[in-house]
Amino acid sequence: MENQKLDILLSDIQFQEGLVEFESWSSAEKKAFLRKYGLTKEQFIEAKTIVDGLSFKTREFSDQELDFLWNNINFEGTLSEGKPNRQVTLDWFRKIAAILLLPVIGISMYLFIQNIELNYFKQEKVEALSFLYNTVYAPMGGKTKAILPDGSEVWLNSGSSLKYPVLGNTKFREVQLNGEAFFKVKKNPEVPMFVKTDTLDVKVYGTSFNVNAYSDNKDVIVVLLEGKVSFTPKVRQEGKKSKEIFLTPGEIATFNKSTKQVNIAKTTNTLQYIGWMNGIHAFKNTQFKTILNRLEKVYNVKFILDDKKLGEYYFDATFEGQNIDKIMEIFRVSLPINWQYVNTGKQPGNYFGLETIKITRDETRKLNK
Amino acid sequence: MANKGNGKFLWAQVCNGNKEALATLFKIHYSGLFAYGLKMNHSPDFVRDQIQELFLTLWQSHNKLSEAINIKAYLLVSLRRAILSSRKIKFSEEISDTTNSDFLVFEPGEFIDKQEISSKVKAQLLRNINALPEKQREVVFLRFYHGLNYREIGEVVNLKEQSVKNMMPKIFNKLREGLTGIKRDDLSDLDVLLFEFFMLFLKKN
Repeated sequence: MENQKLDILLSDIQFQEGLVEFESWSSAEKKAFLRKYGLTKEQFIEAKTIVDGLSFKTREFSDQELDFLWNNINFEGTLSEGKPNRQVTLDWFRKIAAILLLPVIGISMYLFIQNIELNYFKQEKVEALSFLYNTVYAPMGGKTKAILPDGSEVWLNSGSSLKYPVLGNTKFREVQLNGEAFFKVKKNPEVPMFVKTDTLDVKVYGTSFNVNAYSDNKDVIVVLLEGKVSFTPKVRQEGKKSKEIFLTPGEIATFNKSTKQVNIAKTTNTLQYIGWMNGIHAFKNTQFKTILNRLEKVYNVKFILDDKKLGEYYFDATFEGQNIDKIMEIFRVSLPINWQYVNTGKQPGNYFGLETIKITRDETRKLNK
Repeated sequence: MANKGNGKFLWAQVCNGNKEALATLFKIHYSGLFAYGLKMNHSPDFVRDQIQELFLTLWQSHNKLSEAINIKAYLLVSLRRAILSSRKIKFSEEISDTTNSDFLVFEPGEFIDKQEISSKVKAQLLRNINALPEKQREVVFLRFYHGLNYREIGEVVNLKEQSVKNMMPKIFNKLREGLTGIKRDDLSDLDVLLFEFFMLFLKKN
């Protein structure tokens, strides 16, 4: 009975607040409090310990952080609507893409003719050939567009590769992706396409979507623009199959490779994920180290971050066609950093060696002035 | 208290299209919203995005907002709705048990480390908190982290004020389990105070 009384008393907000403030009171105030509630010493200590034990730490944000977070809200509407497909300034991207596309078209043509001939072959032979794969690559710093035998279009981002069956098979469509690609898949409800990556498989029913599965990223990101896709993370487990997760248009799924957790959220900022196709690199609320990781692939450079803490800064930026020097200057103005090219002992005449940029903290400046 | 009145004024300004007022509200409530969000979803990036989306939506619909609301509870409930409606799927070892198993679970580091409470008692209390049903854990968090009163807690978790009030003694009953005979050296002046009462009591009789 006594116990019930204490439970009810503890539920009283005034009593709770009194217990919290107790130490700061004068002994007259303390006396008044004890008299009011008439508890035994044991009861008082128990009650106070519980309320004291429930005091949470609060995480406070600095004014600078809060300003930054506020300024990062994209009030100007969705980026993806404002800009129609602009002429890409980096024309050489296209040239590289076109050059890379030639063998693909060639192979496709060849296989198309082959295919007609193959119709005269026995079915078994066709099936044997259907296990032949071709791989298309995008070089570091470049992009590639490929058209698959079934008519689907694929844009490969820098340093990515896609392995696909040389024959447009009627029974299955399966491709293996390394890196990042944007897909426009030809509709075929009877034969869904599977996009396989190291960490998850995407099942496609005819649609456009982006898969970012660079092996050095901590997350795999799937963004769906239209249509329908599902994906199944590869979870190493005996006897159990992981769940198939469906996405609806405008949704972005982030699969964390280490925690095996998937977050699915609506995004109004698709440009951040697919802008690379048009040479636009948009980052919203993204950590500096993530941006650098991305730019390394786009510009085929290597960054050395002198102070790892610099990588923790969040940043908001859209780059379109700027060269890497210009981009570094933008960073230098916005963050307390300096940057320079460093000599990594590259042999003269080795044009294809990686340019290395070293980023150091500028001690004379603080974040946000 | 002053803060609350201030919040009302700011909110009215927001309804009238003052973006600066919304910025101030954002800065006042960000850390609280972030802490609450993290209790429901462990990805800080995701929680941050959801809070930003929330304020973006507020701004886009500012002329349709009602002025008569409790701002803190309103923000918390909006964030709660956004996070719970986003789908979160965890591919853990036990796939069958994916339903928010780590939802609103508390860890020792989340509490202020009070030296005067023995570590044994602290551990027992934490066990007791985490043994509460999910909804009760959330009520504890809203009461003791955010300092909401029972009416406001009701608004956030979608319960009547009276239901929250009825829940509280049950919560405390479970929190007190196994906590008898606690020693507190810091409360030594209590003996003096209580002794005076005792003397007073004797005199009266």
